[in-house]
Amino acid sequence: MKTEGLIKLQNWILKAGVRISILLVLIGGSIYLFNQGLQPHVIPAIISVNQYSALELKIIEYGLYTILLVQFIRLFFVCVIFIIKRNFLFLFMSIGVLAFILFAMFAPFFDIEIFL
Amino acid sequence: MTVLEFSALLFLISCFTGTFGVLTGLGGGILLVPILTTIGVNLYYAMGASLISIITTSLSTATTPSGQYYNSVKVGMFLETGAVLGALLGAVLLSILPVSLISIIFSIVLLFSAYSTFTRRSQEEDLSLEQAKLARVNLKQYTKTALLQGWSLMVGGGILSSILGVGSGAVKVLAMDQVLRLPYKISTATSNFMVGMTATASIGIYLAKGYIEPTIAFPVMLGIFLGALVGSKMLQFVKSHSLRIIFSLLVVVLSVQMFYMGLKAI
Repeated sequence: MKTEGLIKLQNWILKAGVRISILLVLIGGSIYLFNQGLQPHVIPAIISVNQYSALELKIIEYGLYTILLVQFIRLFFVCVIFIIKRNFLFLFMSIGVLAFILFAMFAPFFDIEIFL
Repeated sequence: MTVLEFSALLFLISCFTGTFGVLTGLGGGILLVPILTTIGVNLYYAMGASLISIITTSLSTATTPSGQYYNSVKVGMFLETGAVLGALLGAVLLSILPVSLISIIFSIVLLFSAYSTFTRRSQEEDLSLEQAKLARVNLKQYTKTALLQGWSLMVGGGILSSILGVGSGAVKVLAMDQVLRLPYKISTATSNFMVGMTATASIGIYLAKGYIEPTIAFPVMLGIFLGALVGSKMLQFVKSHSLRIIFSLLVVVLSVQMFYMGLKAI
C-alpha cells in the first residue's frame, strides 16, 4: 500500500506532538505550582485576550497551542492521503472541513462582527 | 484553599472523568464541565478546559489499534462537514446566549447522554479486524435520507459542542450507530476521530474571548490524559454494564444540578 509509510509518519508525528504538548504543559504547570502553589486560590477574572507575562503561563499556553497544531497536521495528512488515493470527493470534503476550522479558529481574532 | 490544593483537586476530578469517560464511551467533557462548575470554576473556563482535553484525548487515542483500524475516515469526514458548520453556528450563538440558558441546555443534553449511555449496545460487541475493514464502507451504500439525517444530527452536535464546550460524542455515535447503522466499534472510533476536529473548530471563539485559562486548563488536560490512559487499560477487564448504570445516575444528578443553576441565574 502506497499510503502505509505516510500513515506511519502521521502516527509518529501525532505521538511526538502529544508528548511535546503534555511535556510543555507539565513543565509550565510545575513552575507555576512551585512559584504560586502556596498562595490562596482566587478564581481568575475573564480577560479579553490571553496575554500572560509570566513565563510559566506562556509555556502552558504554548503547550495548548501545540496540541491544536498537531490536530491541524492530522487533518493535513488526511488530505494528502486522499490526494494519493485520488479520492477527490473526500479530498474536497477534507479541505472544506480544514477551511471551516481555520475560519472558526481565526475569525474571532479579526473582529468579524458575528462573533462579537 | 491554596493554588496547589485547587490544582490537585482539578487534576483528580479530571482523572476520574477521563477514566469514566473512556470506560463508558461517553468522553470526559460531558461530566467534567458540570463538576467543575459545582466546585466554583466559571462555566466558560470549564468549557474551554474541556475542549482542550477533548482534543488531547482524541489525538492520543488516534494511534491506538482501535483508532487506526476501526476509524472510518470517509464517513467521519462526510459527517464532520456538518459538525464544523454547526460549530461555527454555535460560536455565533455563544456570543448571544446567556449563561442561564447555556446551563439549562447543558442539563437537557446531560439527560439525553444518560439515556443513550443506559440504552447503548454492549461495548464488548465482537468485531474482527477483517469485519471492520469490510464495514468501513463508502457512502454509496446509504440512502440519501439516511445521509441527510446523519448530517443534520452532526450540525446539531457541532452547535452543542461550541456552546457547551463538549465533544458531543453521544450525538455523533447516535448518528452513526442508529441512523447509518455502523457497527458500534466503528461508530465510537470514528466519533473519537471527529470530536477532536469539532472541538478545534469550536475553540477559536474560546481563545479569542479569553475563556482558555492556562491555570485551569493545565491540571484538567494532564488529568484527563492520565485518566483516559488508565481507562483504556481498565477496559480490558472491567464490565461496563454496571459502570454505565452508575455513570447514567451520576449524569442525571449533574443534570438536575445544572438545571437548578440555570434557573437560579435567570
